[in-house]
Amino acid sequence: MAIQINNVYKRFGSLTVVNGVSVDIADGEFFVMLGPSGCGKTTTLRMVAGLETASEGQIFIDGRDMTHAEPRHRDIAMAFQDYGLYPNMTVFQNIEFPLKIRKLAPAERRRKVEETAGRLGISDYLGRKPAQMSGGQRQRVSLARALVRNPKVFLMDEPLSNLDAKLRAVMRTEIKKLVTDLGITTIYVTHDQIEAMSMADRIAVMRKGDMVQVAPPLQVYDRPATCFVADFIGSPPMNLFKAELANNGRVVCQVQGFGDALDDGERDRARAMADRHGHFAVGIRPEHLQCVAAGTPGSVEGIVELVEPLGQTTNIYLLSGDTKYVVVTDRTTLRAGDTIGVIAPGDKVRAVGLDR
Amino acid sequence: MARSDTKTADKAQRPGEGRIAMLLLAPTMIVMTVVGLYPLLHSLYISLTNYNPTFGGGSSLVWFENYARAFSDPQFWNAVGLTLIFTAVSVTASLVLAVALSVLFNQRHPGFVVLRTIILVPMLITPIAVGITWRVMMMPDLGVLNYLLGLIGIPPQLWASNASTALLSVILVDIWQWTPFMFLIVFAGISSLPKSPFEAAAIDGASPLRAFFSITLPMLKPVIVIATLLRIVDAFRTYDTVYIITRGGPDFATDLVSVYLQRVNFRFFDLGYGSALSWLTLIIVLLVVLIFVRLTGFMKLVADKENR
Amino acid sequence: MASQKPLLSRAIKLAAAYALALIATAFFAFPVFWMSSSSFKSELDISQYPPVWSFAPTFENYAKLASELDAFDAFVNSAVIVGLATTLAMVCGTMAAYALARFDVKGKEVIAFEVLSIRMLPPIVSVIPMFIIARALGIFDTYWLLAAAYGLAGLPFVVWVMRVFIQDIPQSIEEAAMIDGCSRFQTFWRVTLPLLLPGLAATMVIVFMFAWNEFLLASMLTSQNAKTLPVIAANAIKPKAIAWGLASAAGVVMSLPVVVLVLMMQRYLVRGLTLGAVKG
Repeated sequence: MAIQINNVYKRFGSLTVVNGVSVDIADGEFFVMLGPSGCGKTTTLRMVAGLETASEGQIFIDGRDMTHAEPRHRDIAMAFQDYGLYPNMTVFQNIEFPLKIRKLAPAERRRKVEETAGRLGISDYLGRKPAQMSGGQRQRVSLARALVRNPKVFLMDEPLSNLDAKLRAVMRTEIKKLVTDLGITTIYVTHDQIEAMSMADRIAVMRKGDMVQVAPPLQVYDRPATCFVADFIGSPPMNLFKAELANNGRVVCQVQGFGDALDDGERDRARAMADRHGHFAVGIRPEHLQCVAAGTPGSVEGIVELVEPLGQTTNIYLLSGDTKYVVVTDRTTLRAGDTIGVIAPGDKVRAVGLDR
Repeated sequence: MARSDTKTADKAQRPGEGRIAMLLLAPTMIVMTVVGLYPLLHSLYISLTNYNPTFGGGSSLVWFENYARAFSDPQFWNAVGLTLIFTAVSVTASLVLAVALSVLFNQRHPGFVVLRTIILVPMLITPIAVGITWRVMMMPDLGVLNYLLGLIGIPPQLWASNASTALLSVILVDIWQWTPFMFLIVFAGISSLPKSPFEAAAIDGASPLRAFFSITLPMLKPVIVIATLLRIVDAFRTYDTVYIITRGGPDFATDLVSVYLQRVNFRFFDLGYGSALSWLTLIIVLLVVLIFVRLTGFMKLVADKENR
Repeated sequence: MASQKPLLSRAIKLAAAYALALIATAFFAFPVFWMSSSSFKSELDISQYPPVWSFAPTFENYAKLASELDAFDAFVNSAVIVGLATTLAMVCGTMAAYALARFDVKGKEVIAFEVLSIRMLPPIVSVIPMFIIARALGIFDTYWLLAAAYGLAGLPFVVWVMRVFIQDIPQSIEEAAMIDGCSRFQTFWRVTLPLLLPGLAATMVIVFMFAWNEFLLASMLTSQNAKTLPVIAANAIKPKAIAWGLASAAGVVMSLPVVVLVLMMQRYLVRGLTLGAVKG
């Protein structure tokens, strides 16, 4: 089922938490809302769920205006960060609960619960109480409870953030496979950029109640709309250098060598996105910068401040003038204090807009 | 990490729920208005009249005459003074005892759980029964207390029958009955304290006594403050035990405010005057609570708790 | 360091701890023991000095409770009045607590503190108007009057404590239920209420305790028909002829239900008694 969010606002008193969000989510899409605490992503999700009323605007589910419908009339499923399991019921009763409310026959309920539990690998735990299970198992129960009634829309509110890193990686792929196989339209809220990148068909990056950029993951990564997006996605994040369009069309940059590397297409984009003072930023991903011998033509001179070997890659923290930035390379023999040259390939240098 | 918008979760505005909250609150509001607020206002009105049912039902407004009379009523101020002493001594003593007991029982030796439960019983005994029991035990001639004192060589006491020891006697009863209440709360506080500060203090070389005063007590402050506040309010209206043991005597030595008020109201039926005294008492209680709240930073403690 | 302390000094400390604990327990337990044992003593045994420790237990005091003090009627009165009051306070109070805990009510902090201030109110202030109003309405000395008074006294307590117990239940559980297809009422009835039962029981026991033990209002707002147990127990104390055995028996009968009920609910007691401020 498709979902349309149409110019939705949410205000608590004088505080605007969601500031006129509009987005169309296609049938079967895996849509991720990404952003830091307090950016309005959870509130937006809760408005789709009906747990919160929009102050303004409309929400359509499958073409029907659901803005003011109660949650139970929206035919959606939801997974919560703290799982929201009923602690007094067994796993079986938890999964069975939505079917019971819908007054399905007991035999039918049992069949469906067992089928769903099997799919999530929790068949052995059906007699347990949630308190007797690990975090990962509990999240599986909450997923099973959501999936047991074949929902057309699945909302997930940071479902993995209470799990440890290793389990998170496993559950990530599992959830993605599950909902893709079932063709369920999914809205997934997270503050974890890796979850967003790996799972999403499209990512919406949110900041202070606004959707700053809505695009497929790689596009968000390659062409971040604003400095906020550039900084939020990627680890280490994109290097950003202050830049300005002079009246004669020249680009003045904090590290002039990098500013000069902007190609014509990016210069046009810079012209379009710069603020009224002509300010914007030049962004380069750390892995796109290349270290060469000092003095190489076209390179920027940099002093190595710190070398951080991570095994697979190495982070090199550099200083050019008084500007700090980072380069990701393979293993290296460079040491702190070395002076090297840095080259920015023209096709990898981006013009990035400033945030309002 | 907490959910990003948790702040708002507790007051979520959901579709179609506008009036439910009002509907749920209505019965409480009605009961409080009809049975709570209205009598209160009525009492304020009566306090401005000379209403006394024994002189026929009629009454006329005398405005602040009752209050003026109260200010020159030595009996009333005697009662207020006694109540303040009673409250201060009883609450302080039971607090100290409760903290000591909590530290002791926090050692958790085998069998302590049972003893702890036994200690809770006094607060559950009907105050009237407490009064009866202690009055029996404190009889100067036949009482078991004097007998027990005799066993360890202390001469018999007159207890509540003597004006100079009567107040102390009823305070003792109050301490006996309500220390368990304080103990219950302080013990809950002490047993939920985190371990790490004590381990750090031990590593820093602090003696157990030092650790108690510089770690345990400060960390227990919120719990102690709440328990003490509740206790002060309740101690101020002590009536049952004193009514049974001394009825305010001998020679008005235990004439607490509530006992005196009962006499004014239901012996002399001087209801206008009694209402004025009730209101003065209410104001005094509020003042005491206010001073206590100020001194302990109670509101700040509460606020800290809300934003934890 | 601690493990190297001489064994002897550890043994002394342990002995001291037990000694202190036993002394403390004796202090708090003795009057209760004395009341219970007095209630089984004959009139002769009870006026012995030095007091007798072993005696032939007799039930004559308990038998006299019914015949001389009308204790049976008073027990019924107490049960009905306290039952009505507890029900009133629990039903209204829990509803209000739910509203305050879960809904966006304007000025809810103000409401909460208004409710609390009634807890602070000395009963002596409202007893006179209640007396006057009750006489005017002709409900003086009836169940209704005391039930209303106790209900009011318990109400703020229920609101505050139940609010905390409700807040203890994660919001997401209720939201999950709503998503699962429950209406707001179904959510409360099928999901919240079962989780709330221990808290409800503990709160109820405390409200019951205060109402059951109350004497001041009961003695002033009843005269013949609605006398409660504490009132008839106090009547056993007359300035001249005091029936100690009888009074002690009344004390035991009054106190026993509360002791049993509260000790059953011990786990939630602290939370309740401190209006939710301290976790047990």
